Amino acid sequence: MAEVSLRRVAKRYGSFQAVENFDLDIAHEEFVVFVGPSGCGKSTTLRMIAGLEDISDGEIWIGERVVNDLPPRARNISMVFQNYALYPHMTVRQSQGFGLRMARRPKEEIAEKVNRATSLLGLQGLLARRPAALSGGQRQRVAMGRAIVRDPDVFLFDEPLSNLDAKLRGQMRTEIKKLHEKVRTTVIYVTHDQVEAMTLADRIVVMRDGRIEQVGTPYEVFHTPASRFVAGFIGSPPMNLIDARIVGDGQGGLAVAVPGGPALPIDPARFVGVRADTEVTLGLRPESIAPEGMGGPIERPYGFAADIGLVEPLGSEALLILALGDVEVTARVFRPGPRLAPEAGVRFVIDLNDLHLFDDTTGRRLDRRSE
Amino acid sequence: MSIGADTRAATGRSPHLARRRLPAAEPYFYLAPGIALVAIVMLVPLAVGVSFSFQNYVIFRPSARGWIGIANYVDLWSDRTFWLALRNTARWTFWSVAFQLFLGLGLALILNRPFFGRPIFQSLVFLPWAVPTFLSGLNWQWLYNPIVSPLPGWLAAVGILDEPRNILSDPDLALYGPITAMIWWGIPFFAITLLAALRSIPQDLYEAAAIDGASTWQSFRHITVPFLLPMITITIMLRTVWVANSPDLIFVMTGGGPASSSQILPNYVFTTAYRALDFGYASALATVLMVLLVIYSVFLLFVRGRLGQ
Repeated sequence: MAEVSLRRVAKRYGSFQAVENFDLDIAHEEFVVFVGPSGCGKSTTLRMIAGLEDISDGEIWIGERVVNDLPPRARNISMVFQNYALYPHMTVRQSQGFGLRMARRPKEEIAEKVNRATSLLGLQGLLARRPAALSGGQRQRVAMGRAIVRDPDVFLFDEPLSNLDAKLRGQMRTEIKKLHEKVRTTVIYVTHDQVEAMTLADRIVVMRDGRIEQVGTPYEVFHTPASRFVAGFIGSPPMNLIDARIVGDGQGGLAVAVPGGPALPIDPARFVGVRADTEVTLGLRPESIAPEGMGGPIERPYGFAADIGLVEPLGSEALLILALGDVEVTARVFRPGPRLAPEAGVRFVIDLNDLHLFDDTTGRRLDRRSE
Repeated sequence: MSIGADTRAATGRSPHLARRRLPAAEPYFYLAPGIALVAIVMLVPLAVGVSFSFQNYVIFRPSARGWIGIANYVDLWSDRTFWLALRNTARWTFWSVAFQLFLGLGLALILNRPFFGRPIFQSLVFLPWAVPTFLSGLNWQWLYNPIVSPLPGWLAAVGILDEPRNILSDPDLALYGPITAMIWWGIPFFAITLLAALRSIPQDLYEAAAIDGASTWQSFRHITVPFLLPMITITIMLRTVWVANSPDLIFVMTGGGPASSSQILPNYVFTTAYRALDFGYASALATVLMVLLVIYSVFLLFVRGRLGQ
């Protein structure tokens, strides 16, 4: 049983603030993913939890204990490193049992736990090999095996899949998820890949510049991004972010005007604090723009005509680059037909229930739901 | 090279023979200058030197020169000075290399951790290596002189000596004078090579070990030592050969005395060749030392090969 709590945790290197004011409670058996661009402090935070970095300020709790001053070996955690950090002079069997040997556990117990981890990860035929004789995916598995064998309270993953090729990465992602179903433990997983974050996480922590931008389930982070940054970071292709202006629609309501393009009416009940004549950032997911008749279910359609400038077919879907007023936006069409080609004056629909507005200066979400 | 040049049409004769032989021999043509150079500067002198050991070759008796088979080696078997020098060589080499290894490793471990003033300290540590051996031999000789140096007094004060006297003139202790000088002079070599090996150990292995629950001692034992072992064996091998072959510190500090008590084989070779002018016997002594060192090196390389697996 181990909850992990971080209370106002900070990390400073001289005058550089790598992580600040980090507050988070992680439940027992929860799978939490820290995601963000390079240098956002996600790995530093993970290493502070592991005990590999000193904590400049705040408290870290694992279970019932404050672990600030405990060395890594006293925290009962295990970690999978980005480049695996396998001991090159040990065979798979030796490195799997290393932690237990260091703790001077009986031989039978070590053998039994190593065997269990080995069969869980499909490493049976590789026990006598050294890391140099393993492929990237196998090394990854051995690194996870070494982590499982010790029955830790918390599993830490530091960008474990970033050294693998795209196909293997997809497979290992699935395996990690399956593994978590079998070995229920608290997991903290660091990645810069939003797809990994979305697929693996119970909850995602989006970080930027040492701060938490948003904590939420993959659904929340995707559908109600708390800031312009999260909106642009989560989702592939990224959300269209357009510098726009709130205007009156002439009938007492409000609309958001795209430069040189249409003014999209907004729901006054939803965007309460929004006033006319203010600058905002309009966010439109590519999948909420579609040519008429080709989109999915649309709740509040808004029709307009636009020129398709470019078509990027991806097989099961296609990306259309089109001009919305003066700005280029990306639309996403599922199951595209074979005749999709650049064309002028095509009728498009936008789902007005799927508009995101962000404050022009703070970048925060303008929406009652986020308050 | 153009392909057309050696066809029948171009040369007018059959290219078959030349073509078949040339490719096999070709690499040796390229290697020939290198092999010739090595032969001239190493193999030929070595063979000539070894051939002296089968001759009666005393400079001031040129008329007696001639092949005498293994007579020099037979003499050597009953030469008490040879056996004393051989034992001394083993003692000299073992203690010098052992202390250089442990002190050098200790220094390397200290220098591998960051601390204030490390760059300065590091260059100071490597300084002895830059001191000419003759100079350091002379310095250490003075250090053991009870009239000018406090060292003998200190040794007496901590109970190592019964009174402050010069160990270099004590037949039982004389060899330890040059040994301490050799240790002092050779530590930097171990420190430099082992520090380089330490820095090549990936840091995340220590992090992984720390998370796996290893204590400082356990990560030293299970990470540092296995990584250092290949480098340690090769450094021990190099240093053993060098130390066993260096007569200079002993030459300067004790001259092999008193009464040959600190004589090691290289000194004995030197005195036999240039004092007694008996080149034949000196070559026999040198050949024995060389054979012993070759056997030792092959053994260590074998051990190192086993470690690498």
